[in-house]
Order: sequence, then structure tokens, then C-alpha cells
Amino acid sequence: MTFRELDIVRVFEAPRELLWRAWTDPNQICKWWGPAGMHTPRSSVEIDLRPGGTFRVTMVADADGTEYPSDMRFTRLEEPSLLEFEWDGQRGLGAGKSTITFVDLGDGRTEMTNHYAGYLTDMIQSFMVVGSNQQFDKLGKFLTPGSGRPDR
Amino acid sequence: MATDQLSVVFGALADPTRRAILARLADGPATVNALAEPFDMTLPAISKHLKVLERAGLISRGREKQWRPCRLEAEPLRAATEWMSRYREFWESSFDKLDVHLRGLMKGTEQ
Repeated sequence: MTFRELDIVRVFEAPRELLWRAWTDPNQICKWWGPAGMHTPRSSVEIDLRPGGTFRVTMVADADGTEYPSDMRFTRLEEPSLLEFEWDGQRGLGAGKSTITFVDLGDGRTEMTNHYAGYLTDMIQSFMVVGSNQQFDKLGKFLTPGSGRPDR
Repeated sequence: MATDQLSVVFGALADPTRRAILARLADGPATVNALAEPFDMTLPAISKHLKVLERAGLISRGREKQWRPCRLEAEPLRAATEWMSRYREFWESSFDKLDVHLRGLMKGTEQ
């Protein structure tokens, strides 16, 4: 088995205390969790904000109501700069750990880094097919059998 | 593609020599000798890399005894790229919503 590490970095026009609350308040996380074409019902969100505590959400596909539950568990909480959680390999994006860090840029903006380290699961394959076909069309054009070309 | 197979693909792609070999094969099939040429490596060392790539399904070898050209197989590469792309898309798309949510909150505090 191979480990994957991936970073996604984004700057938000908001202080990090606001970001911290957006991640840890069930009334807020249900407003943004999940890609386009999915929504996350407030009733499905369970957050027990302490190390070892439960972090659970269920995304629902807008189109056909298919549910995609994710079970996670907090492993580190350092308000307002770092939160870390482990994914349940059977119910979630991957069998690994996500570390979310918030850096105060000093001008009211916050740089957020989402670091993932873990194994791959098939779950993401099934639910990502929904809202992102465009993306795959682009990818398909780039890497169709016969014209495949790795990064140089 | 099964998860374990994807892991094997990622393992094979982790090495720069193997990625260079795949890049060369993207231009067309080549023999082991031709593939070894740009590298300061022995033929057995290159053969080892080719075995890893073959096990991952990233290349196939011709059946002819003397002339066994290596060929790029794009499908596993596409599957691996797709997984990463889907993972990234999941978060980027979520964070677009988070951005809108935060902007709403900021507007609320200004008033």
C-alpha cells in the first residue's frame, strides 16, 4: 500500500477565528461541506469538539438523494490555528488524516492549508462522479488511452 | 480499478527514473536498450524499473523473444490522475462554498 500526501492551499478574506468557527460549528459546516451538486443536512452533522471526539457528516446528492456518510474523529485541536481528524477508511474520503491549518496573514486574511496523508479508498470515486463531470471531460481529453503522456 | 492496484500505480510513479521512462514511452514504443540509453544505469537496473512499471500495468512488453518493445498503457495513469483530481475537486468545490459563507458573515459584521 502506498501513502499519498496532498496539500490544498487557499486564502480567505476573513480572520482565522471565523474560519475556525466555520469548521467547528455544526450550524456552519452544513452550509459549505461537500462539492457542487451535494448538500449536507444540518441533522447529519455531529461534532464532539475534543481530541478523540466524533466528527460525522453525511452528504446528499441533489440529483437523486444518494447519501454519502463520512465518519471522522478529531485527533488534534489547537484553536484557532490547527485542527486534525482521521477518516474512517470504510466511510469517507480516504483512510488517512487531514490536517487543517490556519495562518493569520496580518491583513484580515487567512491562509488555510488542507494537508492529507493517507491511503486511497474507492469511496471518493463513487461520489465524485456526481457534480464534476466537466472536470473529467477535460481530464479525459488529456489522458485518453493512446494519447497518454505523463508529466515531464 | 481496485484501490490496491491504484496504490501500486502510485508506488510505481513515485520514482523519477520510472516517470522519465514513461515520458519517453509517451512518444512511442521502445526497446530496453533504447530506454536505458539516457540513463547512467546498467541494463539489469533498468529492467528492474520496467518490471515495477509492468506490474503496475503502466507498460506492456511485446511477446517477441529478442525484440520486446515496451509500450505505454495509459489507463492506470488516467485512473491515478482521476483519483487525485476528484479528491482536489471535492475540497476546492467545498471551499468555494466556504468562501461565499465567510463573505456573508463578514458583510453581516460590517453593518
